[in-house]
Amino acid sequence: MAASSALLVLAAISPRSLVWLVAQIHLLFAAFVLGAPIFIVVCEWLGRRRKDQRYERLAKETMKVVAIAYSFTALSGAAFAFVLMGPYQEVATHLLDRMGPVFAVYVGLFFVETALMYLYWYSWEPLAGRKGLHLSIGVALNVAGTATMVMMNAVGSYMLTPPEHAAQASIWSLVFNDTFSGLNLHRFIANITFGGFMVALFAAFMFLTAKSREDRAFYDWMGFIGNFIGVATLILLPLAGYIYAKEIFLYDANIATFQMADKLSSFFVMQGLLVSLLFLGVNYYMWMSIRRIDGAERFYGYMRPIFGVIVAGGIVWIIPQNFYPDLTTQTPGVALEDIVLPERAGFLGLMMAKALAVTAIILFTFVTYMVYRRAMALGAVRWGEIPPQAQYALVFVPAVVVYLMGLMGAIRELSRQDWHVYRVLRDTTPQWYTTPLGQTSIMVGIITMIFFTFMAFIFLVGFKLGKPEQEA
Amino acid sequence: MAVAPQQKAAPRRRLMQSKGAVLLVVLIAIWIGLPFVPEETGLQFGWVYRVFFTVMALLAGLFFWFLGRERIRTPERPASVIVSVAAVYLVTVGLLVAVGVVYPQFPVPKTEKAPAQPAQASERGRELFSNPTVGCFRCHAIAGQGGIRGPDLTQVASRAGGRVSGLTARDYLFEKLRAGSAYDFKVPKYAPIMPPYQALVSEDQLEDLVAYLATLTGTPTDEVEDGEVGD
Repeated sequence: MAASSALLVLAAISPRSLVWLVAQIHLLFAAFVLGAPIFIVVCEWLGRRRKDQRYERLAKETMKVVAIAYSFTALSGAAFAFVLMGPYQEVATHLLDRMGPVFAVYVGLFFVETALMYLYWYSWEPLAGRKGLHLSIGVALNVAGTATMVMMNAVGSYMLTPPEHAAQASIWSLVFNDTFSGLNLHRFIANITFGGFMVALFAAFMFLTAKSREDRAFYDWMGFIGNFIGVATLILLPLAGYIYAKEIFLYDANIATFQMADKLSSFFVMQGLLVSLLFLGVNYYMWMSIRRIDGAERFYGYMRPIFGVIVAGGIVWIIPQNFYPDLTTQTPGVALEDIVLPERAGFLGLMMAKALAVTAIILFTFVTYMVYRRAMALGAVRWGEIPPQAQYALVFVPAVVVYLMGLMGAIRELSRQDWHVYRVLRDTTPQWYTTPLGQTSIMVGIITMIFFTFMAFIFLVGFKLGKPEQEA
Repeated sequence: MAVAPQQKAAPRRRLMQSKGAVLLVVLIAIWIGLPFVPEETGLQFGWVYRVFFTVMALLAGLFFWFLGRERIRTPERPASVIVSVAAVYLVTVGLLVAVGVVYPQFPVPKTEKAPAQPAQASERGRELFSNPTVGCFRCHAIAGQGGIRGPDLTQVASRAGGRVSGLTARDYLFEKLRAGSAYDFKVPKYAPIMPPYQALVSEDQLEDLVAYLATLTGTPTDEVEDGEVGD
């Protein structure tokens, strides 16, 4: 019965949906296994430097999950390649033909990264007395991982911004295409952000189910560190995103127009909503954190004004320049002036207003952190006594992050319009068209839930079943 | 330091009441105040925007109500925690999907439509617009992308029809493109530096450019070829 249902579902979805689903799941796992080790090595180093065993425990517990997630990354990658070579054989052949050396290096790097990952994980205890060497392996793991990502970014960026006369271009021109650096920068930072928030998610769950005060204190602290790393890198992302978008615009203003003023414009309204929710979530968590600091009551008065600015900034970011113009013909009672910003308020729909809104949100998130630091300087932190609802903020944030990653991935792919490789290889399949926001949202929602179902399993095996006896 | 519950209750009630009052004022301003804003102020928001602002105000109100809660009951049993975490994911993702589905958007195209057709006029026009040789984007911005020496064209389709009496948006755009700044009507506050495009591009390309400009913000369908707006 279950098998026949699964077959029915598979039959109902198109080849594009299947590739979309598998590729995005793979990318989410890849982002986690690339971002988390950076976070882990930094924590291990901090533990050594500050002689604080909590960092060591955090790093080790998280690495356990990464090791399991790594297998899922490889499996989903293989599934992606398998699906791509079926209905999209033409694309696979084109990419292998044009970028064969890149794939060869990618496979080599993947082996190196796998070897280093297992070496790093299994040498943790044997090299306990030689932390410098262990950290060096961790750094090498991250270098190999980042290099692996860079290889696939070359392929991904080539598909959107191939060089002129791509058929005759050298492999270097294909790799160092116009958006290669922008995509690398954006993904590198975003992976660390993702890793941080995922660690905070694990910590939140462990906090909520912890039996002892010590465990609650530890997981409260771990959630704080995960969230801190996530936010510290999150505030860089709008700038990295802007650089990437600028590169796309300089390559071909058509793509930028298609994104901002055409079929993908509603996707960016959704992006504004998601990022605003993200900042509300992390700021909410921080203000709940401040409540567990002795003598921090004097700062409570700043909370509402700060949230007022963040909410106002979020609304300005979301306000669309106009709504879908066919509303005037599809919906009775809608006139043109109803769906376009009035003349004097037109600036609210422009990039300048959006950039100012984002800047205000980032600045006031920074202010929240300054308040937290100030509060810490005046009183002791009562680890483990954070209001439990703060942990649900840490649960909420990764859900929004993963959904956002799915949506932004869709925007990047849909920006190619009806091309597999922009203006080089046309999409001649029945699914050549740009999916509307609703259809995309359903796909992204499904992907988000599937990813977290896998992560729940990995987390259960890594954190819960794999807990050392003395901690159980 | 500890405050008795009855002492805390009164200010909290006042706070709740004040939040409710602020929300009410905002909603009144949106639905009763905004429609009476004089037209000459250029700040008359259509009802679709008023619905949008209402949703935003309600969400913001909900958030500030939540922010005021001191401590929220949370489950203690591991099984209940798992259920509650799963519920957070289902509700969050479900609501986000719902927003994506209800937000105004272009319809799902018919998949049986033959792919790889020659580009439509508006698509060719879009390519021309950002072609460095033609160079429109160097002076004109669309949705914040492009130059600022010329007028922003993000909403040009909805404004062009009102530029010259008796000319439809398409006709105006044609004439303006052909003659450049030599055309009788000049957009105020901008230097007359636009070249006559009839000397730079072919008549077909002019048609394509106009078809593209006519899709920006959209105009009623009688001014735009079928299927070119948002499809």
